[in-house]
Amino acid sequence: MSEISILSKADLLARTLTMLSETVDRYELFADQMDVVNNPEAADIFRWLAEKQNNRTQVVESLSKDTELPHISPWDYNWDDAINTSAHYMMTPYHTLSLAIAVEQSAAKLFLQIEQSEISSDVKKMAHGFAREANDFCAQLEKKRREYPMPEKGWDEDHDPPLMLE
Amino acid sequence: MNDFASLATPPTQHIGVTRSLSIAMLGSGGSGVMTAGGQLLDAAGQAGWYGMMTRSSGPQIRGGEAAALLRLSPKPVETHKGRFDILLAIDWLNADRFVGEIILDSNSIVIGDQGGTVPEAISRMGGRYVELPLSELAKGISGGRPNMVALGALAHLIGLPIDALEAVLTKSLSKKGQEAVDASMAGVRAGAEQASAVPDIPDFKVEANAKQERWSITGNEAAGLGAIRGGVRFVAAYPITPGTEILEWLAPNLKKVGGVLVQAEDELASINQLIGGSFGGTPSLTATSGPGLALMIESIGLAVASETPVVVVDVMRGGPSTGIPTKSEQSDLNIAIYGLHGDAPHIVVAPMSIGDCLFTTQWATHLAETLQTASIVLSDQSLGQTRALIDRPADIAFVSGGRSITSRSEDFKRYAVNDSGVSPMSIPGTVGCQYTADGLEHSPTGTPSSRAEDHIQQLNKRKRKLDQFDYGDHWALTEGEGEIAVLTWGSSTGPVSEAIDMLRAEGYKVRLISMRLLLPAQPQRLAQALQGVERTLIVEQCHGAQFHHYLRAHYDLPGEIRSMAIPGPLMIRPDDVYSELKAWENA
Amino acid sequence: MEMANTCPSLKAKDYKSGTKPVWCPGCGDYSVLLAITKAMAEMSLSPENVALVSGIGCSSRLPAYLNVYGFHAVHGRALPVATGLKVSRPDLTVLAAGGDGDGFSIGGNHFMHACRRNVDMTYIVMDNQVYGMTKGQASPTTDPDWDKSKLTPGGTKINPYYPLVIALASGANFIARASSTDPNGAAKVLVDAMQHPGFSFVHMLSPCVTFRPEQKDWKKMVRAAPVEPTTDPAVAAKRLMTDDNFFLGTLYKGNRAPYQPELKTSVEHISELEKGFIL
Repeated sequence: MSEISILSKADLLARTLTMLSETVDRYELFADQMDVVNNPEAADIFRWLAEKQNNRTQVVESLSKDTELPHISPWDYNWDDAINTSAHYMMTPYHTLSLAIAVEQSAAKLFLQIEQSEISSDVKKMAHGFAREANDFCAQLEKKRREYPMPEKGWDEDHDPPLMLE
Repeated sequence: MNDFASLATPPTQHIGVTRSLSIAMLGSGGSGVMTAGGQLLDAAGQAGWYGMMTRSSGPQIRGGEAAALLRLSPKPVETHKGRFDILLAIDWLNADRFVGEIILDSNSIVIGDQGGTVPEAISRMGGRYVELPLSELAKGISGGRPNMVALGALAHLIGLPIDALEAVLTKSLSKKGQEAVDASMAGVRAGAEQASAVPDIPDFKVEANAKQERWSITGNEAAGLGAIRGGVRFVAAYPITPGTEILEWLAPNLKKVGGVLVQAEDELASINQLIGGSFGGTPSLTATSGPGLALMIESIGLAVASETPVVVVDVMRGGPSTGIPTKSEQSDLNIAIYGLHGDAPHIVVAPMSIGDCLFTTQWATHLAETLQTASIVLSDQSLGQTRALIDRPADIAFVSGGRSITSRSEDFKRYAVNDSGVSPMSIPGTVGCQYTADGLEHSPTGTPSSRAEDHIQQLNKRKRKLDQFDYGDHWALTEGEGEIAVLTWGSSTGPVSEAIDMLRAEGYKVRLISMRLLLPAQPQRLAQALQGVERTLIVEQCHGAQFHHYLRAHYDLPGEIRSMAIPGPLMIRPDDVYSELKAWENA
Repeated sequence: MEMANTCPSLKAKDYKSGTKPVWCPGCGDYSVLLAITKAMAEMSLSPENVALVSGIGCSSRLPAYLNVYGFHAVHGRALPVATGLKVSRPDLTVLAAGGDGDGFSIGGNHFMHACRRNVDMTYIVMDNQVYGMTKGQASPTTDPDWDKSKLTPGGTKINPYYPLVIALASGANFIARASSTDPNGAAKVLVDAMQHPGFSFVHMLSPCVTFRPEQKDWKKMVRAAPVEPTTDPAVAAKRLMTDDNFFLGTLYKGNRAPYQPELKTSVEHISELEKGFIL
């Protein structure tokens, strides 16, 4: 989990923005993948997720407007749960939303840890706010997931073998 | 002096054409005939003559039998006659291996060292035998060598001024010091003095031409210079006989003009290094021979498909497989034209003389650059490794326009389909024009595509750019008139041209057409060149008649056609072509 | 390494082109692409001054997905193309990339000589121990008993090739392993590789979800190498010979000078060269 300590608002904002941009990039990538493998339902949900995260990014960016943020190199943190998820070409909307829920749960957990660490109260307050947002989004996703059926066993069965390309 | 002319075959003499003198110098392991031959050639050039020298040798790297075959003339010469006026042997060890290459008759002079025995295979051909004490004279001079004595004797016999030899020796031995020059000159003088005992043969005194700037150059060196004149600044090299000298000449010289040569691990690497160099914006070339070309073929297709200009000079040798590496053959025509898989239009050109290796390589580079494609230059061992005295080749400048994008362009499409077929090409470093070059079929932007529409568009584009280009008069050498034509290419042009001269001297009208541009085919131009022709002889040094078949496939040939397709390793001689044409005439 | 100009304002995704990859979802190569863009962003490289060359195979599709100059060459020849480019254009940042079949089998000779020649470039081999584009045949890094290919029933029965050991023996100046399961760690290795002079070899574990689904477990098997990079080839040799293929990080950093023939800027006129031919 976190390898750098969050001491200031600037640290927290930088960290949050990096996490958000990671998830936006991932969701966009997955949306593209789903387009390529002709899975429009999953693609649409990933696009919607990317847009949601993008909106949150804009909010956090506006909060950071007057703050000089430290640069975080990719290897300076390792938010494994979010950046290491992978998609499946036959994944259903249920899987798609489950993936996003896991990401949000992980984010909320991280912000909670930060909130509980030895930091000033205004940073704590901000971390608390971010954790709440993540939890709220998570609840929204869970609600949305209920609109879709749970995938049946064998959902990833492909009756054709893989193709030969080059 | 022994006379074994009585054993000889009848002399083959033709009337008045190129007056010239052919000299063969033989010797084995360390005798220095190659060096002496080169010095004789250069001295002849100093004295205002033209000429050429070919090296022939056994399979040994050191110590084997070797022959320097020279032909000197007041006019430029492009081929050996086969028949030799003088054969000088420092020794006769294994000399009969050259019998096929060196033809003597009763008018030839055979010179050997005192006490030697002329092999029967040589003495049988005829000629007047003269013994000179080459070794003995050399022994009498401190640092003296028989090859220098021989050089002096030959100079005297052919009327070459000793001053010209001295100038050449002084230059070539400058690193070894004055002592070496003096010893060599002492040998030369001793040889010359001894040769004055040989009865004078007036025929042999060739009057030298007026002095003007003359070059001593091999076809391989000329190809190297042509590459640099054409703008080549990156060369990837893998050694192979007989193409290596192009690379060895380029290594130091390319550096002087700001270029670079890299020795690659194999030909697969060298061709792909070229593609990388060229992609980076640097005109790129390599030289090889048949086996190397075979290895490069896949990536030449990549250059065609990705439209990355590259030039490959194939100095052809006897094939197939390892074949006869040190001897010439025109048998890589098929692989050069048809070797690429898929429909891959590209350029194939062939120099028709040693000096033309310069122009043709330069032109090939210009065409590759302008048309963003691969050019294959088909030179061969006889052009590449023969040294000739030629007039300074003209400076020719081409304006290449292939790499058209050097600044940001908003709607840049690397493989844009347009009328000319030549799409804009950016080079790395150009902002906003990044693209991925691809050997996969692609859309105009370069994105891989297997769609029928993209394939046909790109196929048409790659064909169109070559078909529409105006190659001008460079496509062929066309000369003369009449109802008989000889159609040839590459190094066969020399003997064909000389055979036609012989026939013309007898009053025949014969056309010569030698094709420099082999791909894309130029059917309209050839049809025009052959207008009114009733008989065409197709001459090539190739057992499989590849040129003949190529002509049949791509052109309509009028009238009667005959094919004269002779494999290496022996060169086609003017006499052979002359006899073929005479026989046809009389049929 | 010095760049003529840099672009500090670019983000990782600005290095991606608009072309969508054809890789299978879940393929490790997506993360390698991400790691490369992150590394480029960290180094503030100007996209027009970077070129990535590849051969043939799934991972060799990479250049089209980046907003840098790219060359998708033929099978096995990425390294010579990259060599020709870098030697004639030393001002560019040059990378080569491909898979284990492309780099170690058909391109094996070039790999050895590229290590030996030590031109300043970075070579990323995405190793999934299988030929994906031809439907799952064994590659030089496949275990001898892997029996899922129709081409080698019962397995290859041939010991796998050890690319890092061969790289060291051949003279590579930088040897590292990274994994697509840790793209941020991979980005760090890539920055390190690109900044190190000479030939840098990055062995990139990149699972194939289609033909080697068991490789999903690699995520649990990889771990940071518990050592600092060594400059001593003997130490590196022992390290690489005893390596279990899952240690990540920079393992060897040599100090050999890169091969870069001088490109003269003050040049002679061609007529000077011609003087050698005048009698």
